[in-house]
Amino acid sequence: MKSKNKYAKMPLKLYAFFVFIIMTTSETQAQQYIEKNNALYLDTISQLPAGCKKEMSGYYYSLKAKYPKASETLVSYANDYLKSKNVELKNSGYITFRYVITCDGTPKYVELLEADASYKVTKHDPKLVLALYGFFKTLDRWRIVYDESGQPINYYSFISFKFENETITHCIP
Amino acid sequence: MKRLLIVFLSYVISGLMGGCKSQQTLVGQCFDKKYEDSIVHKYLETLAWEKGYNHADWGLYCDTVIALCPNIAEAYREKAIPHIKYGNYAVAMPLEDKAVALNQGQWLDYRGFLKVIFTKDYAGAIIDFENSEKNKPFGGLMDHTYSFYLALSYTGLKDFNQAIVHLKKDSSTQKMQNKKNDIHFNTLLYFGIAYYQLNNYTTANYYLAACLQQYNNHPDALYYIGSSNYKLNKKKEATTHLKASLAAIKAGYSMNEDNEAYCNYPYQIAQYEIENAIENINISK
Repeated sequence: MKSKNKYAKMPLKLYAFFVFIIMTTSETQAQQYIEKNNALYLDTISQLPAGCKKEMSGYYYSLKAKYPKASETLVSYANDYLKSKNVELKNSGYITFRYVITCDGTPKYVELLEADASYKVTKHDPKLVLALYGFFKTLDRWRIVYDESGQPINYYSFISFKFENETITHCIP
Repeated sequence: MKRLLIVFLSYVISGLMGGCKSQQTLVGQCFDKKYEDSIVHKYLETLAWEKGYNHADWGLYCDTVIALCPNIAEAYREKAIPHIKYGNYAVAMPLEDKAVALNQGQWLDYRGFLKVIFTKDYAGAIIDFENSEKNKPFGGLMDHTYSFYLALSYTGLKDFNQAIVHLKKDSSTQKMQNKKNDIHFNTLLYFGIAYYQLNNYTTANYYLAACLQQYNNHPDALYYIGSSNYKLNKKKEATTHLKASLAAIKAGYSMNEDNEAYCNYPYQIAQYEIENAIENINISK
């Protein structure tokens, strides 16, 4: 009986090579970013932390909830962090993380946006993205915001890193 | 067969002619200011604004205006709002570019403003504001002259001498426009920051004190005058001002700029920097 598998006659070594390539490629992408609803995520959660309300209560700018450090301070820390990880900044552009600050003051559900210096969608070096994500995870002073009844709320926030000339130049907002 | 072909061709030709006619009418209407205003009023100022720019329908209303009249710059500018405020520059800025391409006189300075405050593209902002200045000499937006935004851009680029040049232009324009008014306190703040960064602490203090005369709870002015005094080895004055800065920021005082809720202005400080400065003085005592 003839096999219908088109790979059946392929030499075993070649077959193994292709399988290896496919597996490593998909594994790398899965480890780096999570694709969901036509967007890329670095972190997803199925549930908010216990005790948080289910709904979102707006954006950081309506709640006076910018991260409580100056942009220049964050730039300095981000550059130090990248140096400590031996990550090089070769191109220029923006790497942005958008997320939800949950009612316990932790960022969750982190979406990734990437643009070049001319604001065109691009892909930056994943090493740089993941290193900046590592730095982002060190930020632990997110504001906990309460509603009128005294309940802590979930809100949307973001941070953008602008880089050029081999350095982070600005943190936004 | 011939009849069928004639019927088919007649249909196609009449369809094409009808299409052209409606297209001509649409284009004609779209250059009629009254018609433009009516659809902007209906879809943007009424329906979209009622729901707010974070509502899912916001973009749809903007798209409706664009579909009806693709030459209405305001529709692109409005469509960009939720994206610029939430860090999606790849979506927002091409829309702003389109608005500028359609109506440079109205939206070029606004794009420059977005580049200074939102995307920190200071070099790009300088180009936009220099061109805006050519189009509208001594012009301004959002309570400030173009020179003020040029000064902020140079401050962001750490070119403090150029920042001072533009702050002087900003001050003279303010005086020219209204001799009775004081120079805006944030013009004075940025004079202070520029001189502070140039290590000219005495001149920095002069401007920061002038800023505080107008707005005595300005947390940034209090921080920079405190830091300047520290550099001048006036530790007692430094501590007093830094503690006042901390009290002001804790009480909710800020730079008092409309858009600071969205993004920090160049060299704007937060509570963390004030606490650090106080701690440094305590350590050095």
